[in-house]
Amino acid sequence: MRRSPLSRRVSACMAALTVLAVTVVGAEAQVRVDDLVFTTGASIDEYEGNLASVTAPVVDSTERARARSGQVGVRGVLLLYASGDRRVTGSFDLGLRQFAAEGFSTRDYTPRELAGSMDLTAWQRFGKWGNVGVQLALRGRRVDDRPPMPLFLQPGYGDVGGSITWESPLIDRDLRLGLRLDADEANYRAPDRVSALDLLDRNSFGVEASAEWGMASVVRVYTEARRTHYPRQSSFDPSDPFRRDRTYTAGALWRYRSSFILELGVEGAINRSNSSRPEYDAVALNLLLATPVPWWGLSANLIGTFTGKSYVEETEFARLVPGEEADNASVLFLDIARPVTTDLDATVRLGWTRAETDIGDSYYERFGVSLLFNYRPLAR
Amino acid sequence: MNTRRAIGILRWLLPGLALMLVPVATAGQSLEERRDEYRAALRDYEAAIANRELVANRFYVLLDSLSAARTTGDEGVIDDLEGRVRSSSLSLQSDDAVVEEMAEALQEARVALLGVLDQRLDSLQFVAVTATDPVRRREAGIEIASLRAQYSAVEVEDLQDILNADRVSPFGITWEPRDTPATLQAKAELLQSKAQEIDVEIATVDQALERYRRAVELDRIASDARSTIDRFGDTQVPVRGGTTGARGEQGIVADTTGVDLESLPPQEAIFRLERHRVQLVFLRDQVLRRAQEFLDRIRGARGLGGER
Repeated sequence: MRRSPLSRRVSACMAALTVLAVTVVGAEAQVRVDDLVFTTGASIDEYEGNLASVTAPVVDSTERARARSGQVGVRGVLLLYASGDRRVTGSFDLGLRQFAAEGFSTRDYTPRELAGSMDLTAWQRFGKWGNVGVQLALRGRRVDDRPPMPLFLQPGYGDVGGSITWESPLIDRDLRLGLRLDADEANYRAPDRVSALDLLDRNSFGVEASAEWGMASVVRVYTEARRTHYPRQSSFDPSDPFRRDRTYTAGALWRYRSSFILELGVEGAINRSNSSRPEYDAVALNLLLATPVPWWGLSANLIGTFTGKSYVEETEFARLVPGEEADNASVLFLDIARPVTTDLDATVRLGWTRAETDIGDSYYERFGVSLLFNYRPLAR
Repeated sequence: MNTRRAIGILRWLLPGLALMLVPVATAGQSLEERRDEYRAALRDYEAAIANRELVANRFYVLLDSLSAARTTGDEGVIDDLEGRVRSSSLSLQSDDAVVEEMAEALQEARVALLGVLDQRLDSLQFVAVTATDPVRRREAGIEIASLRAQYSAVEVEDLQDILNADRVSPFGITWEPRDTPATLQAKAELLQSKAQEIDVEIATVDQALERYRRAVELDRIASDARSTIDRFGDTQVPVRGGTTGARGEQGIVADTTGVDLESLPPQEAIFRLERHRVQLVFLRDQVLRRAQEFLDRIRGARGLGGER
């Protein structure tokens, strides 16, 4: 089997991360597990919307599908090295989710998702010049027996990325400025029957400037410019044949912590391209509220994103705009959680998703209820 | 007959002479002077302790702030705080020396006062035993009771001083041969009172621990929610490069309970509070055990019918 260039790069990065981690660990032997969490759970979801998707292998005539699923996962954070001026951390996250989907007119599906990520981050302090951080990250997922719409599951992909971040020292004891450069490359898995998935391959780089101030009440404002190249997508412009996007983003986040946690964010994005299809303006509002509730030691956790999007030009064709759906997915999750023992938390989750598919201005919806258990074997 | 008469006269004269000699024996170190010296030394010592506590509180607040700054890597704040900690540390050392000096002076004054009281008590007890005049014996008995009360008061102040200085070692409060049941009772009650104060402090620590544990729990549950949602990309369809800066992903101090712990991460605050609680519980148990020992001694003394 021939390996793709990205696959080779991912393998090389994995090897580099492993060598770097082993070197750091071997040199100082100060590894500390900061967090280790095993997750298991079960969900029941219902999906609505009779939509076509050029990235799904088949099209089904049903408007409503149901799925039961079970999941297991593990994630951890490791402190690999720490000294007065330097800090190296690593983290990983692996998950397996198995669906039993029904309600389709052709057949029932049993999709299985395997998702994973790992990253290595190093921070170095440079005195009055501030701090510099370097991050290498790998993400990937694989989906077997991917079903048709409306049960949308992200296709499998591999993604490798890196970033360099500079943070200023505290200015006037409160203000911190930041600058971040990042680059990533994503390669979508394209089985023979769904070669359109290859069109989602992309690479991008971006620069972000930010300012943050406050302690208990933190405000963060940021702006980002990003260039994204889609080497397999045509722009239909012979002089500039492959799609290239420029995305300008600006946002603000307010985070308040007391006996509860509240985060409110707003982000606006303008996407322009050498292809007229994917040009759009978008806005997203983000919400997080985590608060204790006065009954039975319960905590409530509300996470929401609400989006709006406006295309610059109308078109009758499918808008294959990989990555943009995230800008236009509205989600709302309500978790009711309770510690069962010192090392085990139980959560009941209600979830709603409304996201745009590859067909512009077409949406699917998902409603779900889950029961999750998070186990921390190292919890005191 | 003459001999008997002479003995009779001596039985009258000797106690009288002894009683008259008491002021002569303490002429260079009168009880009043020693008492005044002791009071002055006690005032100086308490003032030194109060001043030292003030400086120590500032020092510990600075230390905690420095620890928090090191955790977050705030270089400018670290430099500033390190300078202030060094300066405060020097002040604290100086104040420690003053407290030590005052404590030594107080101890000397206390020993001197107790010595004079001992001498006076011995003389009076001799009078009380040998005097044949009932009036004189009664006067000596009243004065003995008064001096014993003063003696107990000085010892009690010594105990309070030890307890208030937050350096309580129940083993430092020991039984003395001259302890009366009243002294033992006072010692036991003081220790029980201190145990109650420690209980109140334990309850306060428990409340703070509960708040911090809830804050940690909230952080944990919020973090779990995010990670389990993001794990399979349920909020991003499909994945897009993130824009959250590294600092934006850092955990932030959550709920706070007081000035010293405010700037600490909740886990660190919990660790310190739990350690403090263990010390408090140990201290309370020791104090109560020692109080019980004093009460047992009182019961033992009464059982033997021997009350000083």
